[in-house]
Amino acid sequence: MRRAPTILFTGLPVLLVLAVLATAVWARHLAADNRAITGLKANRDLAVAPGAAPAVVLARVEFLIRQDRLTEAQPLVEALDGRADPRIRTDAHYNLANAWLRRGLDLITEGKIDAAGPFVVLARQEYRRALTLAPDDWDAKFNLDVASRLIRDFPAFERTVGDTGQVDRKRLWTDIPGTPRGGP
Amino acid sequence: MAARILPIAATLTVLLLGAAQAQPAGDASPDVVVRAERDIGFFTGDLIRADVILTVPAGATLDRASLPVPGPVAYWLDLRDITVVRHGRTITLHLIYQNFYVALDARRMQMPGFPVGLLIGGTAQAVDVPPWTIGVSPLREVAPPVQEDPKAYLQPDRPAGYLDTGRWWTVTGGLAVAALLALLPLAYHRAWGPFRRRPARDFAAAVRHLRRLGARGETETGYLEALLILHRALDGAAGRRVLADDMPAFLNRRPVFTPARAGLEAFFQASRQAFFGSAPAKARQVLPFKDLQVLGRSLAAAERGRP
Repeated sequence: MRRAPTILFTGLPVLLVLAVLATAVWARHLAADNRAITGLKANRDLAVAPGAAPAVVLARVEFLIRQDRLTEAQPLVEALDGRADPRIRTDAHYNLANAWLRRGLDLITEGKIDAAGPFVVLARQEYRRALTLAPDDWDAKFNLDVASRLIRDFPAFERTVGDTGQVDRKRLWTDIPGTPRGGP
Repeated sequence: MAARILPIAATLTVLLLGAAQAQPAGDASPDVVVRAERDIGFFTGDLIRADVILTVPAGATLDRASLPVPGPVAYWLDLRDITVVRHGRTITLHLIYQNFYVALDARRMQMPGFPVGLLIGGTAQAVDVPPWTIGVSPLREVAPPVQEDPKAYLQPDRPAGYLDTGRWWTVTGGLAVAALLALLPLAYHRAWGPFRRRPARDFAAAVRHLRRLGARGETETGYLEALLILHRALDGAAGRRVLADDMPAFLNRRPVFTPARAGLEAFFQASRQAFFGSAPAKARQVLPFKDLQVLGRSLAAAERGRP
């Protein structure tokens, strides 16, 4: 029994010092992530693993969108699903949707209406996923409205624009000419 | 062959008769009511909550496999969640749909109905939940003001946020302060650092005492008290009573006080005259109060010098 105060007096500071070390290590870890985010915001092409902290992945998505490398951003956004918190996932889908829609709008401005279609459909899918995660996301509702006025939904398209329905990716690129193979 | 068919036919007949008897009476047929949270003002992305209340005959059970599965219901409608609550003969289906219809004008859309399977007395019976309508509303004007760049119609992107390190540094700081505070009882317990027992500073205390005494003005009683104060300090420093004759022995044991030997001799002489010679006035000539203070200060300085 006489050892009890000694254990208490010694154990408490030891535990607290361990806790200080743990939180300090964690804070330094977060600070390193923040440096990566700062770098990406400064347009430095820092590689980010899909398993990195969600905030860093989101910053990388933002960077790729700024660089108009949307096909690289798409898998990162999908990698966030299932592990990041809904806020970050919503923002990722929303930003990516905006990027697809801006590309579609650019093509429409250039008069390439047909080429714009798939991008608008992609944008609408992403808005819909953002709204599935956050039904009260008014920005996403508004932009989905903008996108939907470009291409209306029709019951015939039911299976291609549903939340789980995927557009056949191969069909998106049918307009790109293939390698000439020579005629018969 | 005929012998084998006969029992089967008999069994079928019995089963059919049984089924006929199990038909529920007309007044016990299930009753369906759909209660919606509201039926107007749905924008795209809004959740539509509805309760389907089934009043079933006693003993009827719900065939859960017949319920709609969460997922897309129509091109503009998702079923997000369905929960079943049963109270006695009332079965309530809580449905949550999500509307993705982008309306150009306020219009009514039909929510699809669905059949629900019930098992009443061993017989399966389907009950139709009727379709109902909701009013969807547009989010924007039909013809928004014309923009130079169509991208200006969009709501802006959301910038990626930073991680909150400040909070963790605050937590770290708080824990560090707590750890330091928790070290105090340990240091006290183990007599570390500031809690190591200090050797008593008898003369330092005596000097402070003398200063207070001097501030009250010099009187004879004050002088005698000052002598006593120094005596007590000497006793404390030696750990025993020190009289005039004990002084050499004391200086032997505590050589740090040797430089004050002359002062100490004068002190003992004055003390002897004051207390034993009953001549305090004379004593005050031998060693005035000021000199007494000087002696106290030199002894205190010597005391601080020891290891």
